[in-house]
Amino acid sequence: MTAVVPDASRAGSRKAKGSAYQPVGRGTFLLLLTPLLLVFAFGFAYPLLTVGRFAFDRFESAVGQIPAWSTEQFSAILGTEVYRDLLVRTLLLALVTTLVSILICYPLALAITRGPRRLRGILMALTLMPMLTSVVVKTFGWTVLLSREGFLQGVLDSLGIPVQLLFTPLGVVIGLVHTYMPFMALSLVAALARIDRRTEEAATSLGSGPLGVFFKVTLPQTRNGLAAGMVLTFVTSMSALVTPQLLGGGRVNTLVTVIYTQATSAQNWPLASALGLVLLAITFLILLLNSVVMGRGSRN
Amino acid sequence: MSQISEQRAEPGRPDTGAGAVVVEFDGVTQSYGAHQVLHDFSLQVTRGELVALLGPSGSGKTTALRILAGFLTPDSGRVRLDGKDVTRTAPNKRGIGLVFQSYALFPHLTVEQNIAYPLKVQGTRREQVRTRVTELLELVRLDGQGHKKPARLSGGQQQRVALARALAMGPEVLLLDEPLSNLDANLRRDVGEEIRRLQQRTGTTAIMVTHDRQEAFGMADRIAVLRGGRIEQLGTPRELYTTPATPFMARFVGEANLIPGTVERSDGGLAWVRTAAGTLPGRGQAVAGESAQLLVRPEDLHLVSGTEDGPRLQGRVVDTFYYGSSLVAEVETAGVVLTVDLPGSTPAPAQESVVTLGYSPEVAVLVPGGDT
Repeated sequence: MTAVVPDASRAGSRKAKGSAYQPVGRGTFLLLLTPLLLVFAFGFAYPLLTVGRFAFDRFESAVGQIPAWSTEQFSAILGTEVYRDLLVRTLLLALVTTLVSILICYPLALAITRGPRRLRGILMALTLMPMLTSVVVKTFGWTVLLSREGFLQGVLDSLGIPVQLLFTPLGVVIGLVHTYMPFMALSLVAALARIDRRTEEAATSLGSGPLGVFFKVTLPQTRNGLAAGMVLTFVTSMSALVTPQLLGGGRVNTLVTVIYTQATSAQNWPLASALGLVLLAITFLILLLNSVVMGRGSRN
Repeated sequence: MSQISEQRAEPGRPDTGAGAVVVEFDGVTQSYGAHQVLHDFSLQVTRGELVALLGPSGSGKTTALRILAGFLTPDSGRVRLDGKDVTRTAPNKRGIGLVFQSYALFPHLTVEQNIAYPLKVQGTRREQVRTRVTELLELVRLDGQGHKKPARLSGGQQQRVALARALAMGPEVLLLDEPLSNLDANLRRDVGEEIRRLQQRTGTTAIMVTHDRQEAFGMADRIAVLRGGRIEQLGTPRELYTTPATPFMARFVGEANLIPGTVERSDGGLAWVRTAAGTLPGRGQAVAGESAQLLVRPEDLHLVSGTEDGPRLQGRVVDTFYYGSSLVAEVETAGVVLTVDLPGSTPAPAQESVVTLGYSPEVAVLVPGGDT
C-alpha cells in the first residue's frame, strides 16, 4: 500500500535519520512482527494459496469439485460473453462510483479545508459517518429511501422522471458512493491541506482568473491525493458485496456477488476461486498503474 | 512593456516633483475588526523608483502590500496605478508582479514553466514564450536550470525564479514581500544588491516590504517607516539616518545617543541645547525654551586628548567591548549612558576612568520632542 500513501514512508525515514536512538536489534525486530506474521500466514497467505489451488480444479454439478490442474475455469471466464460482460459491468460500476465521488468530494474537501474554522469539525464528522456505521444498516436505510414507496423514488415519480432506483445499477452506485466516498474525501482533504495557498495568490497576481487558478495550480497540486483517493474508492467499490447485493436485489450482478453465489449456493468453488483471482489481478494492475503514474509525477 | 528594457531608469526625485507617479495610496484606511491597521495611509511612488515600507510586525506594511496587490479591499481611501483607480480591480487584472516571501513557486511545474506561466495566461505565442523565458533565465543567471523543479534549487535560486516569473508578465509595478528574509545571512547582501541591479536595469517601479533596516537601506531609493499603521517618516535612507524626525526614528534607523535638554538659542542652522552635560550644539532650528533631544551617532563621537576646538562632554567609562575593527565604549555622562564607536586601534580606556568626548557640531542633530 506504499503506492497509495506516497509520503508516509519517506517522512518516516527522514525522521529516523536524525534519531539519537539505536534501532532495535534484528531478533527483537522479528519478535515484534511475529503476531502480525502469524495472522498473515494463517489468515491470509494460507487461504489465498488454497483459493489459488482451487481455481485450477474442475467442477461438475453432479460430482462437485474434482482436483485437477486445468485452466478450464479461466477459459470459461475469459471466453464466455456472460463473464466478460460481468467483468465490464463491475469495472464500470466502480469507475462511475469513483467519478461521482470525485465530483462530490472535491467541493466537500475544499469546504472542509477552506471553510469557516468552526464548521470544519462538523463537516469532517459528517464525512466520516459512513465509515463508522455498519454497511448493512446503511444499505437497508438506502433500500427504504430508494424503494417504490420510498422518499427519493417518490420525488422522481412526482417530477415525472421515469427512473427506477432500487434494484438498478443507479441505486447500487448511490449506495457505493455513500459507502466509499470517505476514502476520496480524506485523500483530497489531506492533499488540499498541504497546498501553499500563496501559490494560488501568485497565480492570481500573474493574471489567472479563479478557474485558471483552480485548473492550473490547485488541481495539479492535489494530483497524488486524487490518485490515491481514486485507487481506494475504485478498488473498494469494485470488491463490495453487501451494497450491490442488497441494492441490486439479484438484478445487478458484479464479480463479487457472483463469487458469493457460486461459492455458497452453487458450491462451485473452482469457478468462485478463479473469479477471485481475476479480481485480485485487476487490483494489482490498478496499484501498479498508480505507482507508475505517481513515480512519473514526482520525477525532477 | 513586454520587453525587458535595458535603459537605465531615471530614479524618481520626488522632492523636486519630477517623474510620473505610478503608484498612489490616497488616504487608505483598513481595519480588522476593532483593530485598525492602516490609518489614512498616503504614499506616491514614481516611475523606476524602489520604495521600501519598513516597520516592525503589526505596523501595517504587509496590509498595504496586500491592498496594492488587490487581495484586500480597503475600508476607505483610493489606490491608483498610473493614475487609474484600481481600488476595486481584481488582483489578476492589475498587472502587478508579486514576489512572495516564501517565493510561492508552483511545485508541480519546472522552472521554465513557472516563468512561462504569466506569458501563457496572456496568450503569448509559443516561440515568443520560449525566447522570453530564455532571456529571463539569463537575466537572473539561471541558464541551464530551466528543466528543474523548484524544489531542487537553493533558496537564492528559487528567489531569482520568483523574480523572473514576476518580471515575465512585464509588470507595471513589482512588489517584493520580505525578499531576503528566507535567505542565509551571508547571502542577503549579495541577493539584495542583485535584486536592486535587476530592478534598475529593467527600469521597474518597485515596492518592498521589510522589517530589516539593513535591507531597506541597501536597496531602496526612499524608505517609508511605518509605525502603528501610519507613516512615521518618509525619505531617502540618508535623510532618515542623518535627520530623523522623531526620537523613535532616531533609534529605529540605527544606534542612537539621545541627550535630552532645552533649546537655548538657534542661529545659522545650528541650535544650542542646554543639557545636564552642558550646553551642546547640533544642526536644527528650534524656538528657545522648547524641549528637544540632541542626537549624536556612536561613530560620530571620539576621544579628545588635546585642546582642539568643538563641543566637549565629560564622562566616566562604564564598559568597553573590543570587536576587532572597532572598540565600543559605554560612557556615562550626567545620567545618560553614551555609546561610542572608536577605531579598533584605539587603546581601551580603563574602566571608571574619566574621558572627554568630542564631536563636530554639524554631525549632531536636534530631534524635536521630549524624552520618550
